[in-house]
Amino acid sequence: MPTIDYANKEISCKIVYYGPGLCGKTTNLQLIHRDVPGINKTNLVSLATEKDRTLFFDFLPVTLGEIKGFKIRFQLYTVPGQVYYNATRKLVLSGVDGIVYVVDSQRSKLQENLDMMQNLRENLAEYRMDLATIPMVLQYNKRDLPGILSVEELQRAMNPRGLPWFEAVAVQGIGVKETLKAIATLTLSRIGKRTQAAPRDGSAAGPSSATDTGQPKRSIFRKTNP
Amino acid sequence: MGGGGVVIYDEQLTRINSLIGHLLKESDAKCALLVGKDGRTIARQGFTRTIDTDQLGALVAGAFSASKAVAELIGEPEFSTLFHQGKHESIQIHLLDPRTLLVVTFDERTTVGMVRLVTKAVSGSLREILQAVYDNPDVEEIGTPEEIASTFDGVFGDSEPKGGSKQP
Repeated sequence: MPTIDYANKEISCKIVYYGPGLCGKTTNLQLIHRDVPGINKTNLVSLATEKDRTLFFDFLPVTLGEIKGFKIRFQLYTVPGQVYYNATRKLVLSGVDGIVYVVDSQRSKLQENLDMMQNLRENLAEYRMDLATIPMVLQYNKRDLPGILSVEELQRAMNPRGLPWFEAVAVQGIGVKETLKAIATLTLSRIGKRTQAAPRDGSAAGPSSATDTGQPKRSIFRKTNP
Repeated sequence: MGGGGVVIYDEQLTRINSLIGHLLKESDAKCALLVGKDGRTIARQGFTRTIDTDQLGALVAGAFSASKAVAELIGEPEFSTLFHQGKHESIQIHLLDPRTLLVVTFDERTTVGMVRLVTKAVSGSLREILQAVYDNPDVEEIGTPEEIASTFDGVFGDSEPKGGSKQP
């Protein structure tokens, strides 16, 4: 769940952009960094190879205003999309609160999109998280290219849950901020709605059943300790 | 839920800040951070104005996670402490509990031995507080999706995207 700091009045969420290689994950972060107005942001950190492929992750912390007196901060990460960097993808998913799944709309990339979705399902399961319940939005990227699948075809193949989805041309900034707004809203609206238990040490583990702590919940408005 | 989050109250953060402030004073180190293994910075003290502590937290957590794979290759489950020495500035990353790293940066005014000594001295008390923090109850919902989305209108504008939430 997001980190809620009553002392500094901050809520912090970790969002991971996931998807196959070269689908546009890093481009999303670059365009958010460059174009989204009003965001209090610092430098985009990219741990990339000399050919600008993501080696470990990209990282962009952004502050998106306030809700009920709490500053809302998001830590945006990408994962490396290349198949052989799965260990890294798994590490970046640690403590994730919301996922943007970036789909490459090209017809020739459909199998890669499906394979990486399965990879996401497996990696989340190792943190006792369920792809079926974690906040997630889909972004159908590269809508400007020839030879792309129709939205209907993509929906049938990639979105059986009926998740929020957006068409995008990330390199032009189209659909980028809408996607971020949607995942930000979805993730924050899940606060207080416990669905699954994660291991206390934050490490990967086998699947488990959903539980609740059984403790009374605390109002976000309360200022003093219980 | 994702499992990486923390609910932390004023009094708990005050006690944590007091302990890591004591660490800095006794060791002559420059700054100290508590960082979740997921990369989120929980607390920070010392000379942090010139450091982007969000970036430092994310990168340190990444480096520590990567080192776990190295540790496993040589037969250790994970390293408890990492130390990077620079020409003038150095950094120690210490695994405080299974979820939390204590990160200390320091320069020539002190030594790695002194930093390790004081780190060890405050670690027990920090672990105790963190255990209480991780046991804090969940919070209630902060608003409906519509209320939350309207908060972001000022940031993102209210453009009509090509998308939806249902299958066509």
